[in-house]
Amino acid sequence: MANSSRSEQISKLLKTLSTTTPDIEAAAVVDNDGLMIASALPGDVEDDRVAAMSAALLGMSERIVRELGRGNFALAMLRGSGGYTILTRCGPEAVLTVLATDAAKLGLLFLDVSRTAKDIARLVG
Amino acid sequence: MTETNAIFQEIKDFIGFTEDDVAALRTLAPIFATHGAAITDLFYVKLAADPEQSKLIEGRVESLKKTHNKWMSQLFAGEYGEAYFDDRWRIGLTHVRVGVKPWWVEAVTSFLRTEGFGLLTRELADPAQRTRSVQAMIKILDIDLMVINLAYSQETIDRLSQFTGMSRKLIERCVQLKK
Repeated sequence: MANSSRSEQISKLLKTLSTTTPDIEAAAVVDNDGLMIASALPGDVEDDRVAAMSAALLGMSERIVRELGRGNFALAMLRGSGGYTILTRCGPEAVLTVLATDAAKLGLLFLDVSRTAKDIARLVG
Repeated sequence: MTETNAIFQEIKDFIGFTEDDVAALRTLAPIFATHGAAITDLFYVKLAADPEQSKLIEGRVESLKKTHNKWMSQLFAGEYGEAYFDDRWRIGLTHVRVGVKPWWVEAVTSFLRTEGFGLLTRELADPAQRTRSVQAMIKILDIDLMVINLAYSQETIDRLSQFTGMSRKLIERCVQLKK
């Protein structure tokens, strides 16, 4: 599959995620080296920085889960006064980063994020 | 050609290290065999005067001097192949492990340039030979410095990568992002 086509398909999945889950404001998929694969982030966000930070945070999160004997890594969640940032794996080579409002229902959010991550993993390969 | 050989060759090409340099360095071996130990002693006096470095060398000065003398004799042994590169690379790895700051390698090579220049000025009467010898000595010291510092930086990134789970490319990308 051509990279542009794959990127478009991932972008569609990200768009679907934000439209079907109203509390999700934005999302992006990056590779392990911190390169953006597809993005539906706000215009004022610096893609390069977010991509690198997402990959870095996910790497560190996986390490700490393993170090502390917490089993297989599922996701990392950060909460700020303006809402949540969730990072999860979508295949061994990519990371899904999702921004959600502070009012988001976490159970539903995790479910939708996890489902989308699986769909993206199939595309990323 | 292996990757390490390729890196080493690149460094030698960059410095402009030729067979003439190899020949010039070989002729210096007897001079440094006679006077090298005195240069080492002088260098360790300098290290002992620095509070940070004196802690690192405490109780190990004699064995470190032996290592230093061996390193110096290799500079003039005339063999600059993969084994030479590996040996210098290991020095860089050891420095990361024991906490020797990279600028100390720069300090020691600077010290050797100065002391070596003084020594060769005293020992070599022929100006042309002296110039040629000093040039070769400076080149091999610069090569050592580059290899040791390269190993140091690579090992630092490797350790950071292992600790954080970040790939090497990601770490390099993070460093290049604007502040």
